[in-house]
Amino acid sequence: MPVVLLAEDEPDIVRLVTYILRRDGFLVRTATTGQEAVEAARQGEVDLILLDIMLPELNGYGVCAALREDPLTRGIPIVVMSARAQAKEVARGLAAGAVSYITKPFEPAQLGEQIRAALAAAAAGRAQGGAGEDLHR
Amino acid sequence: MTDTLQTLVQAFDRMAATYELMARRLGGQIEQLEAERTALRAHLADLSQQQITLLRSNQDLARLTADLSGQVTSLTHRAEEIRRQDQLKSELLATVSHELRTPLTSIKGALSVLLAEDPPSPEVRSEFLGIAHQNVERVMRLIGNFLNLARIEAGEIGVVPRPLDLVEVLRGVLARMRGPAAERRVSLELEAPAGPLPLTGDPEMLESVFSNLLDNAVKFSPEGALVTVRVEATPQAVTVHVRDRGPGIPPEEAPRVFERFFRGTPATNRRVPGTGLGLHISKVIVEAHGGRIGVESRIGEGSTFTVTLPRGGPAPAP
Repeated sequence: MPVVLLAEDEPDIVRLVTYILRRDGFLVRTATTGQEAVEAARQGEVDLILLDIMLPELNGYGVCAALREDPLTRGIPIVVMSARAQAKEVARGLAAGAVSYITKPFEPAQLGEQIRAALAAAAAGRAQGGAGEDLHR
Repeated sequence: MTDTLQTLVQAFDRMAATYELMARRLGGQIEQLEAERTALRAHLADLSQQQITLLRSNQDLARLTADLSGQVTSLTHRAEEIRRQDQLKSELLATVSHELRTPLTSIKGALSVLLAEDPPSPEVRSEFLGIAHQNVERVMRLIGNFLNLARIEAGEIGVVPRPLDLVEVLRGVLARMRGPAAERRVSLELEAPAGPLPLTGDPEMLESVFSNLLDNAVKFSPEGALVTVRVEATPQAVTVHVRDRGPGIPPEEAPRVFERFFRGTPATNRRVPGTGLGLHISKVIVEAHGGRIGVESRIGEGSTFTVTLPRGGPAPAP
């Protein structure tokens, strides 16, 4: 089962997203601050990061930057899920290296599919020899 | 001898004629000079008149310049103010959007999980209905604050004072906060005199004050901490202390916490959700009741917000 690292500080949303992703066939690990998310990603065994932007300590953009700097975590696809829904905020998230951007409130029935799509795109990128790096351009 | 005399007389005559001629010429020159002097005097008078006029218009110009630069300064200030208001407005819009989307995410997520499972297990049902319910409360608190802000900005806070029991109001607020508190394993404690505590005030408005104070206390509490609401009453006034064991407010920020949209570093560093409106609105409401609100805080030990309300309600409008 693919492992999703959920970086989110709202307890209700953590409970919900964890429940929905487990139901839809994912293993879920959680981090409630940006720093925790970066550390969890470095420990490995993370297939994808579902990342909130407004995180304590280190925000989502900072997490993206930290993960891209590190060769260990550079290839992990990042999907941003944020309540910041203005066009310029979405653009900033994608520029920071996210492969897709889901705005809150999200569609619970589609979340699993969106994550599988991001995983498939990342795998295709790796198969082309891009080691996932190109996905972040 | 006669010849000699004659010659002398003739010489005198010539001299006299020459002198007369010279005297006449000099007289003419003096007259001319006199005329020139008069003309010059007139010219000088003219010039000094002109100088006075110039000085006056110079003063006028200086005044005008000062006026203009004053106007430029005030226009610059106004432009800055408008820019600041504009920025505040767009920040507010982003905050409102974020603060509404977050609880809506939980409500929508919880309801769609419940709808997708037919029938959901009792545990799932109670957990997810609880999430939806608490987040509806959060949205309502938020909307209440925005409505109150709009009223405040329009200059009509609209307090409708009537007899109420403050203990009942506080119990209601505490009951609604139990859910969010339990989520953070924060316990809420009410220390109030036995029996009702009648005073004159607007129950909905006061509810909003204590709901904001409790919401803050819970949000800033570390997991498992205690939030205490202590009520003291005298025949004239009631004082309510809301105490948390959170990170505390830096002393330099304490005077600013009641400002509209102000968010302290403990809130922004820890990403505690909020709009910077609750305390501002609370202060306006408490003051509209003729009361006072204040805060005492120590870094690392927590904060105590104190509300004092006169039991007779707001002083009648003059």
